[in-house]
Amino acid sequence: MCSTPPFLLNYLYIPAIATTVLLGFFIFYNNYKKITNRLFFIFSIIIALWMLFNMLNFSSTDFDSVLLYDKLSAIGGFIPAIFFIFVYFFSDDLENKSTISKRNLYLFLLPMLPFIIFSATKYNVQGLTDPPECETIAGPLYWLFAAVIIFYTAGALVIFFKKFKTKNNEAKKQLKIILYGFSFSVTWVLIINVILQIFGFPNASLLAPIGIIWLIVSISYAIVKHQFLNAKLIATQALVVALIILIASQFAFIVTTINKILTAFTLLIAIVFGWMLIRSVKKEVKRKEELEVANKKIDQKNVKLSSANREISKRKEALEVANKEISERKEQLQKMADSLAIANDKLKQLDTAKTEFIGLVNHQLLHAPTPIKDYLAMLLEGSYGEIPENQIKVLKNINAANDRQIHLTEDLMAVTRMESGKMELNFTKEKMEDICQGVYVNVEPTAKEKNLVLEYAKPKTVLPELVLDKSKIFEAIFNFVDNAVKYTPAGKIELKVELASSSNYKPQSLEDQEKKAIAGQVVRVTVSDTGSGISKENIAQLFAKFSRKDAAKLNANGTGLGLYLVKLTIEAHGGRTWAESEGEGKGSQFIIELPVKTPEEILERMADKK
Amino acid sequence: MPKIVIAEDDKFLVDLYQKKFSDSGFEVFVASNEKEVFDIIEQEKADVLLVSLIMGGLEIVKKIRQEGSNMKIIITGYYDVTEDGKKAIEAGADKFIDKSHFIPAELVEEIKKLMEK
Repeated sequence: MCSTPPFLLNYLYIPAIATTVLLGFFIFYNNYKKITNRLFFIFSIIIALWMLFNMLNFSSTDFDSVLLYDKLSAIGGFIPAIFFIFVYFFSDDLENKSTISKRNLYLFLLPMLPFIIFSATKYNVQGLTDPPECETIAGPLYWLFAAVIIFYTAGALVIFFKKFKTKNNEAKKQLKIILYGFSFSVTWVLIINVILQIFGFPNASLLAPIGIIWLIVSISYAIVKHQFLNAKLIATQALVVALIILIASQFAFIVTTINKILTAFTLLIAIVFGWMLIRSVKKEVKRKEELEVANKKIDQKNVKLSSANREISKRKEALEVANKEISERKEQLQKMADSLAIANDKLKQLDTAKTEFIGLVNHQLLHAPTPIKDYLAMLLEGSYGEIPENQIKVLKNINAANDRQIHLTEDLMAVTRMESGKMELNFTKEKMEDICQGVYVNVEPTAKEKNLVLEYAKPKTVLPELVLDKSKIFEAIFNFVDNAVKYTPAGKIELKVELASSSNYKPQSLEDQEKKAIAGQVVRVTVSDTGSGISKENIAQLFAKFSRKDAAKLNANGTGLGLYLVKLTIEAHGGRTWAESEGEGKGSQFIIELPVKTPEEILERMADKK
Repeated sequence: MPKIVIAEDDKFLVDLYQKKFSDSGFEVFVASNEKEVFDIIEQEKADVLLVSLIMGGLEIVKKIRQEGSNMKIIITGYYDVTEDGKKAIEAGADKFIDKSHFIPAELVEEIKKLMEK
């Protein structure tokens, strides 16, 4: 019969084994795809078994059982090897690398081969000493195997520190945790084996294997942290399960029925509350995760919002720039409007100045001839006494010469006004027949004196009324007829007015070529005479301003402006005027055409006046 | 005898008008500025005023009409480009006469016609 240590030692082993299995199981259960997790599971199972066999070794009394368990606990030799492999793959896993290759794996495990073969044989554990000690007797290979174990442990540490240098901060943290766990385990073993032995607790060395629990816990923690497995949940689950197992394990030791019942109740309560606790922790974890997800979404939205905000600010800026531009343009426009207003005012001033100037010039030019005319009139009337016969003619000549001056001034003024647009035309609806009649009546006495026949051919049908300035048109027609009488030595002068369906316009001067004939119906006035006619060269110059030499003769008052004025007047009415002659000595015709349809400009001017 | 006041800037015309109107049976008074015009009108109770635009005819017309007088007023000038003659008529003058178109005898005729109205 081998001696056994106090039962308490066994009791401490059971939770340790349970925790190891549970941690390994939970890590595996949460992510079994990862090599790390699988390795850890194997690691924890082997450790659990090793601890189990150790416990059974100590607590067995039967010699053969002790020997058996002694041999079986050689399984502990695998622990460093697996630890070695684990450290290698875990640190790679931290970098998200998978440098796993089957070849490397087999290489690592090669030294284990003999160990596996011979660990259960007498080459490892030869036997036991006699009871009650039942201590292990080492075989020839025992120490070799010990060396292999140390080799793997050392190897693991070497890899450990190698990886420790080259990894990122997060990885470093994880490796640190494992290192701490390892250190704690080693420290535990040292304390148990060395210190407690010194203080005379030889059996305390049986507790040493439990120390490995620290390494297990630290590795689990490192894995959980790295794989973002929820530590809280796992811990809760593990704790609850451990508690249940602990309570359940009491059944192995309690005897009385009351105890059993109480224990059963405790177990039931533990299960129920444990389950509820796990559920609530799960919920909380879920909520936390959901919150995190929601927070992440909010963050994303915030990012979007801030970029949208930036967009808006950009657009705002752009708008402000555009607004600035608009107000600048507004200012520009305002300035332009102001300049325009000023220019307009100036134009008005100029216009007024022009009018006043014309009036002034008119006044000045007539200032001299007027009293001369008046004196001559009074002299000839006899207001200053009787004038001798021979002087009367002289006075009359003076008067005529003076009148020429007055007429020149009047013509000049008329032309100036027409050209400046200052001639006020008084448009009214009139009968052309009446105007021609008026001219005829006016000139007839003069024609009679010269023994000329003056005829007025009244139209057979009534002519349409025309919109025109009566006095100006009268003057124009009068000009032609009076001219004809003056320059026809003998014969007939005919005044005719008629309605024609289209214009006969024959432009004479170069500039006239560009002028279009009147469209539609016209009222045509023709003054024909049997006079000296007009040569081709003269006809072109006839209506020109200040027409030269011979042509000038034909101007009524010899001012060179008479016919030009007629032309301006007629064209201001939208009409056309020209002369025709077959040549010198063959008489001439002077024609005026006015449109039946009142031209637009005239209608506008009449509308403006109102 | 009808009384006429002549306010004319052209001294030759003054001489001419004076002779003609006297010969035609008017009592003639000559004024050389606005003040004299009003003095004579008041003193003599003249029937007709013959005033040129240059002599301030427009203003004189306005003032006379403002005072409520019905005396005949003729404004003289040359071609009415600036429309002052028109304005004078609107202000109450009886006629505007273009001096270059009316010899003194014709002027007298016109005034006699006016007085008969």
